[in-house]
Amino acid sequence: MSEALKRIWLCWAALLVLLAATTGAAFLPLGGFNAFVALAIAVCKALLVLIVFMELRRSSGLVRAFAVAGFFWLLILLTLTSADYLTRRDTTVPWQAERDAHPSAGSEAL
Amino acid sequence: MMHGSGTETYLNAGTSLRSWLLTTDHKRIALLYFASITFFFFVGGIAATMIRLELVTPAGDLVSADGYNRLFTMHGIIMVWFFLIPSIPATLGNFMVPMMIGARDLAFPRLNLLSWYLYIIGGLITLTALLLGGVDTGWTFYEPFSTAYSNGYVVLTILGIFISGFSSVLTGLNFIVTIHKLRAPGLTWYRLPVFIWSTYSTSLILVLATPVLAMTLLMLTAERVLHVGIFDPALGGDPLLFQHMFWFYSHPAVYIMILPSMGVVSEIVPCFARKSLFGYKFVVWCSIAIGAIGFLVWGHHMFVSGQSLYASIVFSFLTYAVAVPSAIKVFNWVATMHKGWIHFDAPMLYAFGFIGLFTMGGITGLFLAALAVDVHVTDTYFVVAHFHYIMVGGAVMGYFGGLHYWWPKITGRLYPEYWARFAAILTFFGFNLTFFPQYVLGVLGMPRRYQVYPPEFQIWHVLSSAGASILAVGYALPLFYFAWSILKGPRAPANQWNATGLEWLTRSPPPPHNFSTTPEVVRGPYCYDLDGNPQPQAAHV
Amino acid sequence: MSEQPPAFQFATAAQQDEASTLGMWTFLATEVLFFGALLAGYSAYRITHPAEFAEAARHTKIVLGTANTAVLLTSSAFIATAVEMTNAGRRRAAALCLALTAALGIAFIAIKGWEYSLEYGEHLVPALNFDADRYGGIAQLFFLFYFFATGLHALHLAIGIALVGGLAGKSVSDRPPETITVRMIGLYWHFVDVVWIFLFPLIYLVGRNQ
Repeated sequence: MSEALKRIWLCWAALLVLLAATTGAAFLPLGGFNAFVALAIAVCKALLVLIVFMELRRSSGLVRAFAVAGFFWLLILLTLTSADYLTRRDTTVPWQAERDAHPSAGSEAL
Repeated sequence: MMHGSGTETYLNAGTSLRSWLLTTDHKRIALLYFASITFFFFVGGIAATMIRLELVTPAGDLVSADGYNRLFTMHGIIMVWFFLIPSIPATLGNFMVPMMIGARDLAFPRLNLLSWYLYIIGGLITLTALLLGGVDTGWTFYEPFSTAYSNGYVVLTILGIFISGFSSVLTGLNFIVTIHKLRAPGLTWYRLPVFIWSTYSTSLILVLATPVLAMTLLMLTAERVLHVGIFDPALGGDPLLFQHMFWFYSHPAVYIMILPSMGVVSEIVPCFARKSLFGYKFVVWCSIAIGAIGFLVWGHHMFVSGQSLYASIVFSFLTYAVAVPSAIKVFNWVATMHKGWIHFDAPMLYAFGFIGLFTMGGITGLFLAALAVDVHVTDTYFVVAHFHYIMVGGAVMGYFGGLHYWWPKITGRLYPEYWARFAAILTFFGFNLTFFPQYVLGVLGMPRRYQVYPPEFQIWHVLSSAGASILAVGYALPLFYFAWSILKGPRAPANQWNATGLEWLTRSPPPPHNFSTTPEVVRGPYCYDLDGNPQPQAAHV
Repeated sequence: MSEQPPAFQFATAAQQDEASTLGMWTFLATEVLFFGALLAGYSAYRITHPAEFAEAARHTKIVLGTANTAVLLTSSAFIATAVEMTNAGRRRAAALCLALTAALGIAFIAIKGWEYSLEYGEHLVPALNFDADRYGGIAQLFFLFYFFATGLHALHLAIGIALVGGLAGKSVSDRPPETITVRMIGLYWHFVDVVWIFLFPLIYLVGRNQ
């Protein structure tokens, strides 16, 4: 059992290190890359919890498949929804273009 | 009561009300669901009747405009969430899944009972909303009408749907674990009946899609109650976000509604053609494929909504892809019948109806998948006809086919065969007369959800309403002869249809724990020899 | 492994335990999609209004958020330890670990409550007192997401605290819980932790690089 305890608390230490890293990295001027770093570290932390604490490291392939399934399906939702948001082009109709060219005070937002 | 042997069945093991309302027997829970969904079917049917009566004339003379909005909304909500989604899984699935895999019950029997109670609570709440005046937003609850402008009972109705969603999730969870863990010895995955595969695929969708609906409804409620704009353009919100989230669930939901029916047809056709299912592995993997690809196509409900053209193209392409596994299944059913020895009992007539009507509905789905065509026919009666061909011509016919097929097993009684065949044929004709004119109406430009229409459309509406009256008779008939069958029908043997599945090895009705000894499975499903004799999956139990 | 005989629908206790595990993971998958749907909404707005989101996120309390993350991670370590203790039959050690888990969960909620009160003071609570003129409409969307997600998370955590607290008490009673039970509730607790692991950077770490 001391093996198991060592594994648990080593994992805990790694998680705290990653927490410090992600919080620290947030202040670095990396532009758009900050978001990627933050999410990558989050994925690492989640994997540690899943594999060590939630014992996926010694679970059957079936259990692992179940564990992955939810995240995979979430990825479908996020990817295809983003496909819309990332590829939208704003098209202005003539009356909007005119209003934007000559904004008058107190006009309605829509 | 069974005479002679004095053996117990699940029906007579405990006759108090408490033994029914607190049962954990999957077979009794299936009957509890059967009674409830039949009730909701008729509530939804009353709404449909009033809609079709109103549409006989071009003017709005039966109900007010607001009343009409409430009618089609409640028809959709009741039929989708309180009839179609639970129909086959919660009744035939609950009853048959353990039996077809040789198990004594589902993996989590108490969770199963909880599922029913959650469904009932959700249903009662929605019924209350209906009686108080209902909702007028359409079953799709689009923003911003549902949050900012509707003065119907939106939150109450949503609460009912939200609660019944948990019922769906728990049932799906139960089926998934049961199918993985409780199969009888020798019952490998490729020896499972297709109904089990279809139920498994359906359960995956129940489990993975329903939570997204739950969150969507919560967000909609937050917006309506707290007046904060998640989807409100005035605050920078996006009404299309609601549509994305709503349809991420609601498109797979239609596969929840059709996959179990396809499973039923896959059980019926081999039995009544006395022949092995053609292309078994294709059929099972197509069932999984439909469930999986079905998650990738939701944007086809949003082609004209303002969604980006690029996304629309992707969704259009994927929608064509999802039709392929369905078509493969149709080919396999037909190939099964080829050179078979066809018996025209009522279950088979319903299966025929399913195959024909589902094919028509499916093909019109491809019309709608084409972006340019969709621009013309979206939000018209073409769409209404399309989904009714699938949901009613397909799913409901499959449900009735399954009811007839397993009725002897479930009740231990036989239904009157000639009345049943008559009802099946009447339903088929009534259905086509109701919904084929709606394709024409859609192409001619009749919008859906409209109470008032130009007089040149009237002839098609009259045909449709006439068909609806015939369809109503076709649906009412089983109510009468099934009731007669329970009271006075002849006793059914264990294997009325000489079929091959494990469920036919035990008594009709089954004993409380299904089998006296656990079956040892030795072969796959649907093994019939050249004379049409069945080779059961296990020896007698 | 369970010591009691399995329920009638199961052939062996091992089969019952495997079924419980699969059932819990299936339930957790539904939770991934439940919270994930909220993330889909968040993503949509972060993609279309990145600057406003970053501006709004700077009003979150990064010190409290980081501290809370550490609290939750530690609680996970304690409940994992409790599973090992239960398995080894060390009931009092298990009860202590479970009690610590629950206590850390309560600490999380207390810190969260303190955070909420600070945000209330700064007029950042949508539907209650959000100052849209000062912060803007998109910021309101951000904070709506913030309160929704963390509130839902806290609700799940509260349920976990009740379950774990109950387990702690049961561990020192005459009928201590089976290892499988502690393991399953542990899975739930760890999952609540995983949700927070993803919420943390999305809420607290946006727009800090300026």
